[in-house]
Amino acid sequence: MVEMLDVLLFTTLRAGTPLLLIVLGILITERAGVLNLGQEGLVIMGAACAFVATSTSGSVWIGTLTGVAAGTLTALAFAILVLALRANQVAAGLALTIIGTGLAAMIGDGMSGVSIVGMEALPIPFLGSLPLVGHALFSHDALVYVSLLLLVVIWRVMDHSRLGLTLTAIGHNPGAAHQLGLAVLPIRLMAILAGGALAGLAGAYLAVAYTPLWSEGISAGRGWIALALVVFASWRVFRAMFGAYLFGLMSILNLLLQGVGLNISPNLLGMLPYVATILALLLFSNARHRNTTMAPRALGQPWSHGD
Amino acid sequence: MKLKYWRSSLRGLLRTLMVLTLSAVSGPGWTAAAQPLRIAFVHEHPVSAGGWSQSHDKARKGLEEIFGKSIMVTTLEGVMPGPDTVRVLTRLARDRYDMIFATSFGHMNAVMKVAQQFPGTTFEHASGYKQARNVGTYQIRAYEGRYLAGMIAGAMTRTNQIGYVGAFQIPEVVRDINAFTLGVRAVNPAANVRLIWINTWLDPSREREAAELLIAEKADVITHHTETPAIAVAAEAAGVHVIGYQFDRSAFAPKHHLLTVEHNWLPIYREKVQARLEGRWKSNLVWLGLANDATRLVSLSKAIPAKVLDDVETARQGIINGSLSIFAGPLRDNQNVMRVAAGQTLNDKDLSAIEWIVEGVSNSR
Repeated sequence: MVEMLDVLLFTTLRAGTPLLLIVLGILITERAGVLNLGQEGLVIMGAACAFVATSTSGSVWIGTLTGVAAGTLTALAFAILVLALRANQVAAGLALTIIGTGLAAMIGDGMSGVSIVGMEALPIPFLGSLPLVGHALFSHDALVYVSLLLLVVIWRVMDHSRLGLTLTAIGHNPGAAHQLGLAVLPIRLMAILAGGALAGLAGAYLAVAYTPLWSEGISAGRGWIALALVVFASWRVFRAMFGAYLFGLMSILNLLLQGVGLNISPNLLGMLPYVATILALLLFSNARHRNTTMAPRALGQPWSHGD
Repeated sequence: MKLKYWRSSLRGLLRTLMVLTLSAVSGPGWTAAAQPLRIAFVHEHPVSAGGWSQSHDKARKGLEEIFGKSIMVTTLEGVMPGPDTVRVLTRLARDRYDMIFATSFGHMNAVMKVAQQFPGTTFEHASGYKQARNVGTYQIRAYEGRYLAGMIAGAMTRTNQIGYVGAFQIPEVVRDINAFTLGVRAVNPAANVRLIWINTWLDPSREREAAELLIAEKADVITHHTETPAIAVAAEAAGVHVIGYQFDRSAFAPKHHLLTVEHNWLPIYREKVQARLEGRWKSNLVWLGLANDATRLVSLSKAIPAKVLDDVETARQGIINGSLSIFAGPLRDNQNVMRVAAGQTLNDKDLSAIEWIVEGVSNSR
């Protein structure tokens, strides 16, 4: 029993990590008022480039950085479209998904039979040998810790810093922010690039740490799930984190429950992660911060100096 | 799912362009005698994903070597079951493809629909159970290979727990699970097969999660009916044996790969195409197995004792010459209901619609 709980906690943390990274990236981008539906394209580009770079260089770290760079560069293309050319953000985001998926397939062509040495686990001394939770929480690969570090940093910056307020102001009313002398377009550019970097990191995590292999279906819709999680979490950092891990937990439970003799239909079990996450986040948002959704009021609206 | 929709839209566009280009190249200027047989392959998954679609594509290469200039082959990937398949098949039939192979179970209804509108075109559908005057079907008796793999798993397990990651509960998958388990039980009646359904063919992370849960439940041999090598990766990392499926997975678990039950579609495709070229094609079911080398064990590990391999070879000969019948009664399902009485055996019709899971497999459903 203890062993099963350990496995459950361990796999949940790992299954939630890619979602957490994407969700954090979406939060930054959307707080600044930019809607980027191209997450799936960013993630898969990050995964393909990270895998190819790891396979050629032999280093998971070069691979990971390449994945981050790929996500950032892909997001740059999106930024040029929506910031400089004022393209419709929804259309540009969808185009990004299509192009990213196709391009990743091209980059990864011929790599599906290739195996790499994935990222090694990095148990934290002392903490890793704690009873009960030691293995489950502190014997992951480095990117899991990095994701938690990023969570804390991004939460501090977004909710407790001047930069966070600036982002929120630009997301709510770019015109007014501009009047106050804030550099709307450069900050939006930075937000889009940060989002791309995080989605690229999520892709790198999938391809070099989680399942060190390349397959065209490797992102498996996580970008879309993360986009929905951010909405249900009312654009709040910790609620979004909660959603990401809850979704991870539920998708593991869906597999685990098959063994305990409950006679539930496979289709109902398959719905479990989606239904449970939506319900939990709805209840959660009703309990306290009902009227304090952080939904950026100018989300998805193009803006330029002439406005 | 949105992702798939958008992805298939892009693929749809690329495909249309490709088909248009191809029809321009081999346009009506050619004489009938010089025209090669126009063949199209339609796959649900990318042929580079390393599984089912790739095993078909490998046979496609073999076909091109055998028939050379007398055939012309086009391959379309990422054709999702549903309206997308209807559109693609219609386009191919309009472009005067003579013979269209749809390789996914999910393509079945689209094939039946389009075939009705194009009686002059020959359609072939892999793993389905619907036929028409111009629709034939074909399948590999992979369950024969699975039975042999089960024997090896049963002999190799120390914990008597064997893990199995399944995609969907359809006859093809269920048949394999049952044969595998019967193979396990034939050599090791105390062993148990623990099954997890992941409800997707292709999602490396979910495949790996399922494999790790099985390993956590003490499985020391794991196998799968999914597309990617993720399970081999999980087994190698955890240090347990893995039995691959469809496509040689040994590169992903160099130390712990026991064997792969490989698909070899070439004998089937060769027979179908030969018949069509000679004008004697008729709608039928071609279902080949060990006897034709359509299912075979490859990359056998040195860790398997010679005695076990001898027994497996004896069983292989037995299946080929008919002295060993895998689904011979008495057989109970895992709810303890008698399914095949003593003295009876399942025929091909029963096997193509099998949905009960044999005793020895533990899963909630």
